[in-house]
Amino acid sequence: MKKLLWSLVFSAILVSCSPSAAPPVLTEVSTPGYHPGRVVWYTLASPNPEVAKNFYESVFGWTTTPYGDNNRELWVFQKDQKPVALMARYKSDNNSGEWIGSISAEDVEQASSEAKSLGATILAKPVAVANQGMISYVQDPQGAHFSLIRMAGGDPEPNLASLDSFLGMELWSNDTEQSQKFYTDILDYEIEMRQEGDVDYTVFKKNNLNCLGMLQNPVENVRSHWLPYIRVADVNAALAKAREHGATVLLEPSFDIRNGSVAIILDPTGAPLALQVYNP
Amino acid sequence: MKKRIISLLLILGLSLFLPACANMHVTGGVGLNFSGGPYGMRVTPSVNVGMYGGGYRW
Repeated sequence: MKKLLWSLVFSAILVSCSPSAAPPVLTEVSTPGYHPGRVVWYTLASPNPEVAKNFYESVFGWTTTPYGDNNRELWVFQKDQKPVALMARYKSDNNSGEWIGSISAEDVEQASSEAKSLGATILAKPVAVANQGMISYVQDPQGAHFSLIRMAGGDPEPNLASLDSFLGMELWSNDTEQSQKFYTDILDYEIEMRQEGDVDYTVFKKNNLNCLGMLQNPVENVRSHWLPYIRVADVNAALAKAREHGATVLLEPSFDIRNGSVAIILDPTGAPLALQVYNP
Repeated sequence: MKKRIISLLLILGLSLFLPACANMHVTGGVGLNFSGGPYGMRVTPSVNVGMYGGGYRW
């Protein structure tokens, strides 16, 4: 009887100490090795996931799989059965959403602490998330949201994005000088200044890889924010679909801007994103 | 008999208490509050095209 009881105790410890079932999301995109400084994952913080789900499925052909409690809190977006992003239900003060890029960090706790000391707000302290890794959520001193991550199985290879997935993220900053100092201090970037047309453009680089872009926010009275770019085959077709499914168009394709290869929209929940034809 | 009951209660207690030792969470952002998207839902902003170059070379 005693042996049986101790077996039960041992089993209870084993079961209890195992991580809960969680979506094998990032383990599917991980590869050996890390690329610190790059945006390696994307999460849509959405106050209205049902509307967002319909939009991204219709415009980009993504499929959506629910996870989490009661299947109502967390969703995985997939394209051609490969995970491209997560969507999480967030409560928001203005009932609108935002894409949050996860930047690969060698030490999430240290980088988060450094960010806080430089005036950032830590929305979620570093925590180990099952099947994903160590993650924190941060609001930079100008209000832009981002995440720091150390993926459990390594970062995705820094290859060119496939169609209907993310190319990268760009910071639209109201104070580029302050933003440059902030992100360089916490993630140890090298800076390269460029001219994109008439626009001063900052590229954050690390280990000879382009990691992030930044320009002066071209929209008045809007706080600093990150803008994700999704690679599309035909920007006009993608824009027509987006409009049909409730997007607000911020910038129509124009020959003056990259030969009409870029459009900028707000999805139906208010999250900004860019559609770009990109064929290097 | 008393010993057995105590042991069973101990097992049940451990089963409830020990998930915390894994220190793992299933989701990353669920339940968080944030101020919301930069544009909100009611404004119709426009991009100053003279200040935008079309993104960088990825």
